[in-house]
Order: sequence, then C-alpha cells, then structure tokens
Amino acid sequence: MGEAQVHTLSGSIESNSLLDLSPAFYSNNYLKLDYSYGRFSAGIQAEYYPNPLPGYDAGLKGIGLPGKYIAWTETYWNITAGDFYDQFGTGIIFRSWEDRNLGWNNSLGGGRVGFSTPGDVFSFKALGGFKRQFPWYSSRSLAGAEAALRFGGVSIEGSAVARMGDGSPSLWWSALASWNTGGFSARAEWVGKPGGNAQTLELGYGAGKFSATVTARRLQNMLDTFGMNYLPSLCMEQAYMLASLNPYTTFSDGEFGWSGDVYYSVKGWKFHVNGCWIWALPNALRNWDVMRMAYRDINIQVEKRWGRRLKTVAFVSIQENSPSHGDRKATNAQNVFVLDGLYRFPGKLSLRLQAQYLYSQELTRDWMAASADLSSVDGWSVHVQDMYNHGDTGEHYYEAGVSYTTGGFKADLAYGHQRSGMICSGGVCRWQPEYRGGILRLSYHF
Amino acid sequence: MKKIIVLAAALLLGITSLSAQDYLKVEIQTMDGGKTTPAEWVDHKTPYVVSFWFVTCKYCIEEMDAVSEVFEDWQAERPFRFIAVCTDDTRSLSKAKALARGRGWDGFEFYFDVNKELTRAMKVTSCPCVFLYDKNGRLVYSHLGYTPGDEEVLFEKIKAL
Repeated sequence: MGEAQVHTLSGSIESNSLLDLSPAFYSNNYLKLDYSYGRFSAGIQAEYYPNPLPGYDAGLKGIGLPGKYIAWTETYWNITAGDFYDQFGTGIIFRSWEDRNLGWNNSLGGGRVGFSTPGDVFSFKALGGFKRQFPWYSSRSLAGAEAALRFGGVSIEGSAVARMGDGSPSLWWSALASWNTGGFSARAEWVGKPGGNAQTLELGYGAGKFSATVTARRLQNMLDTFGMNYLPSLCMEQAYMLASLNPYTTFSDGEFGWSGDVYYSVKGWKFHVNGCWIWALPNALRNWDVMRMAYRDINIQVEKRWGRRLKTVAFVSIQENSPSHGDRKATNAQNVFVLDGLYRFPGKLSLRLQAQYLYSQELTRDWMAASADLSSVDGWSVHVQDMYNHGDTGEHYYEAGVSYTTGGFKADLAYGHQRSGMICSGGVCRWQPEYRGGILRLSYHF
Repeated sequence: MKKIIVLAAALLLGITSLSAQDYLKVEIQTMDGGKTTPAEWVDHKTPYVVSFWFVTCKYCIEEMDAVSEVFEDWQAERPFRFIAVCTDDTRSLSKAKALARGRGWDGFEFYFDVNKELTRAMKVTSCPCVFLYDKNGRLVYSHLGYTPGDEEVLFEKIKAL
C-alpha cells in the first residue's frame, strides 16, 4: 500500500437494561475491541448478561468472551483463526451472523482461509469450526468451501458444507449464478440437502427513476437443526407498528412464493407498491394434495414533499395470514391504514406525527395507534406513543421517552408498556422486547 | 500511580486518534455483484461520507432523501463522495437496489454489506449512522440517528476540511 503502518484500535460498547415493574432487572451488555497493525488484526467481543432481556435465550446468563480472533490479510489471500462470521450464496446453505436486536449470534469458532486472483476473477474460501453456544462452543461443528468465478457482469458460485455432531455428517451443496447488465439483473440459486432442496430466482429492472424487482422461492424440507442457515420471510418487513403485528414467518417444511416491488419518483412524489403471495406445498401439509395459501399481502405507499418543511406519507397494507400455513381453511385478514407526517420548524426542531388504524374481524379485531416525536439537531429527542386494541382486549401499549445523541454516543431512556416489535425513536430503529417498566439503552463507538 | 494512569490514557488517545482503519480490508459487494474493499474509497483527493442504511430504516431513507435533494448544489460548492452502505441481508439486496434507483438517489455510490462484516468492523450499533472521512481516509466526524437538519451540520463539517 506504500503507507506507513500504524497501530489502530477501535471499539464499541452497548448496554440495554430493563427495570420491569414485576419487579425484575434485565441487562444485555457488549464490549467489542479490534486492533490492527499493517496486515495483522485481532479482536475480542465480551458479553455480560446479569439477567438477559425478556425474549432472549435464558442460557445467555453470565459473562463470557465468545468473540476472539486473529487474522492476517494479504492482497490476494487471508487467514483467520478464532471466532468469525461468514455466509455462502444467499445464506440458505450456510450463514453465521450476529443480530443483537434479535439476540442471535451463531458465530463459528475455528479457522478460515481465502484467496482470490487479481481482478477477483476467481476466488476460493474454506472454513471450519464449532458453533457458538454462550459462553463457549457447542459440540456441533461445520466445515465447508466456496468457489466463485466472475467475468463481465456474470458470476457463478458453488459451495458445499458438511454439518457434524448429530449422528452421521449431513452434506449440503449449492450453485448460484447472477447476471448484471445495464439496468437489468438476475440471480438464481439451487440448494440441496439430504431430503430437501430450495430454489430462488430474482429479477430486477431499473430505468431512470423507475425500478421493479421480483423474487420467487420454493423450499422443501429446509429446516436446519444446527441453526446455521438463513431462511428469511420473502414478504416485506413492515416498519409501521400495526402493520407488523402479525408478520409472516417462513414455513421451512415446504412453501412456494413470490414477492415483487415497484418504485417510482416524480416531482416530489415517491411511490412504492409491494405484493407477496406464499403457498404451502402439498407434501408439507397433512390433509391436502394441492398448494394452499399461507400468506399474502399488498402494500402501497405514497410520499409527497410539500415544499421544504413538510413531508407526508400515506400507507395501506392489506394482509391475509393462515396461522396453520394452509392446513386449515381459516385465515386472519387485516387492513392497516397509516398517515405519517414530518414537519421541520424554522430553527433546530422537527416534529413527526403518525396515526394508524388496523381493521380486522379476526384475532383481537381492531387496533388504533398514534405517535409523536419531537427532535432537535442538538441531539435531543422526546417521543410518546400509544397502541390501543379497542376491538377486543382494551389493552394499551404506550411509551414515553427521551434520547440524546452526540457523535458516536447515544442514550435512550423510556418508560412504558411495550408490545414486542420494531420501534423507531430519536432517529434510530431497533427491535424491542415486551416490557412494562423503564428501559435504558446506551451505546458508544470509537 | 497517577503518572501511569495519565500515560495509559495518553497512549489510548494516541492510538485512537489515528482512527480505526481496520475496516479498510473488509470485503463488500458492489452494485453489479462484484467485490471490493473500502480501501478503494481513499483517493487522496476527495473527502467521503459513509452512510449505513437498510430498506426498512425510515430515518435512514429520510436522511438519504435530504442529502439527495441538495447533493448537486453541494457538489458545486464543495465536492465530496457519498457512499451508501446497505446493511440488508441477501433477501433484501435486490429490493435495496430497486429502492435506491426508484427514490432517485443520483450521484451516490452504493455498496452492500450482506453479512454485516463492515458494519461490525466500523462498530455500527444502530442505523442511520454516518461517518465523515477526509481525503486521506482519516475519520473526522460521526453521527448516530437522523433529525432533519443533521445533513446541514454534516456539510458544514465537510466545508471545514
């Protein structure tokens, strides 16, 4: 690189604590440090859970050093020993990753080597290790390799993974091809495992300020008892409170589905239309020899900027979910309507207001929700919100809080009765567990 | 004892003030599916902003819209690169690409951190999260979250470089 080698140290601290009115105290704490000198790097992640937050694995209780690694990175090859994350293809065959908001961490403890040719025309990676089981490792291990060939806008990848620890080794394999040219893109993947397989096809097109993408996926018996693969829901992840009350989760026994998005902007208007339709495969169901609807939704969002100060969003989501994944005829239908506004006052303040309504004749029937968030460029923000089930339970889920952000530091203090779900406050979105009490979140990076 | 503490603090500050550059080696995806590393961003000519976002992050999208609306004017006043790093997994990859084009974010450079390797290396704990680097790749400013007007504070920092 021709530059002087320097010692560098970077790190982050994150602490999320809940004082529940029951009373009980819960807290998740993370410290991550990385050191680098030239081509050498090393790091640790320490975790401390005096009592893990509700919704997190109770086995996390205690203190540990589940992340530690050393690595050497040359221009065309690299080697890592210790705990690491990686992914092959789209992750259906293998993915190890961390998501603290979900309480998910399936890092591998072992080794990894990789090399590539100049221009990255050909690359190869091999890895192996034991799956994390806080604070140490489980007896389950995994070994795999991936090779990729790239030329022009075409990429061809192949991988194989062996899972060991539950009887005889289980061998999985995958093949992936992708093609990008101009505004058009396509990607196809086939994954096989003993007794199961999965196929994914993605197509995308864009021209000017118009774009569209569609993904189709078929899964048959793709559950991984190791918890080392990635089977996300194909449908849109909802950001609004009421639209995310009953999200769809992948039916790994067997499903076929598609999801499509269209985006378009013109003169201060922005449009987004999304649709998703999932069917359960007949051989994954007990009583049917035809595909049965498991989930479908249509989402329409229209945004309009009215001059420099005001922006409004109108959003509609029409959802129908089969809780039995199509095994029984009964479904739950719900229609969600949202009005969302952002007004910037002269000076430093901005106000966000939301009103939401969920109409349904099933489950807990109708809901309504509202929220207000006043924030300042100085870093301060206060918010209040309430989500009210007036159709059945009469329950309120409310929260009021204040947050402060400066540079890489953020503190967030809130009190309320919170239903588990995604919430945005002070400009940051994260997953929150259900609680009735006070929660303090602190994070800092350097 | 006091001397040792002062020395340790000075050493720590000395190291950290160099700013963390271990992220420069991390492999990320380009818009056309190829691979690169953030070392490519350091061209010794232009400062660059790195903004972490994901498809369902409302405030990330608000911030990118706000920068996009003034990006051309700001480029005329003080050129800088705006590098948008999408932290979505592979499921949302095609959606992220479509969203970026459909919202008219012209002039931005897009990269995809599908397994959050760069997100971890840069210690991003939540989004939106923005970093400003000078032309030599030295970190000069970072900010978590978004409130309308934050983009103007960012541009003042860019102009001060």
